[in-house]
Amino acid sequence: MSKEHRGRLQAQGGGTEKSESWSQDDPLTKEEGLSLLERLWERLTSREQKDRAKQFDSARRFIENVEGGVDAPLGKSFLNRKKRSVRVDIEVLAGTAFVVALLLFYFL
Amino acid sequence: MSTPFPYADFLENEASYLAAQQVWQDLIRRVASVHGYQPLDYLNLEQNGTPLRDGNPIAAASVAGKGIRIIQVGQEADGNDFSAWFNTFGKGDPATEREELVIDLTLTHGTLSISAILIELWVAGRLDEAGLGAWVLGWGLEEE
Repeated sequence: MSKEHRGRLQAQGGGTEKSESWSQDDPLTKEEGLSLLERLWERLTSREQKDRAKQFDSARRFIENVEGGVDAPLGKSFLNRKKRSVRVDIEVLAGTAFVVALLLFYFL
Repeated sequence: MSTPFPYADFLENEASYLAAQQVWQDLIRRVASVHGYQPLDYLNLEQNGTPLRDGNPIAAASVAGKGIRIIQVGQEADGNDFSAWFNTFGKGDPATEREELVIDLTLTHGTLSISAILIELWVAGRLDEAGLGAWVLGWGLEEE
């Protein structure tokens, strides 16, 4: 059975398709989101990292700057605009994501 | 080099943002109408009831089950002023999975025109990966 809060972070394009996903009963916190993003970054090759360094920064800034969480369905892409489709995607598929840990009490 | 479209200050000016957004909504509605459809929302463009006005995306709609997502960036953004790709939103998640055409651009008369062509081809079922690649080539993109 699907969990209430689901989504994934992806490094896509240029032959790369790597992702980190979440599926859980509670909203994803910012800390968890940033941790997943870091885990995804560490799974990339040095070339894949080089092509997406600014895009990871943009995704990180988006997560950090969210106020009060974001509700699904949400899709954002941060494109390396020197390439056709080399990018980092954020997909919030169900529920809420990127809440601050304290706000979790509100959702529970 | 295309002439910049009006609403170049869309990220700083709410009226410009809404006007640019309306351009995309009208375009998608017209294409949908030609094919006998109404566009439907499939992405949340708000955050806690407040519209997200960062242009990412500036518009998103589903026509005949096909997603169309438009990302508009500011005139000063690095890189090429147009790109497009296919994405499977929610891949592997049956409740949300949807094929989408994603277009990333700086809004100019030229990029609006090519976007209109791609959206029409996509809704008509006449755009595949090879065709999309051929349309996007020529915008000075580096080989991936």
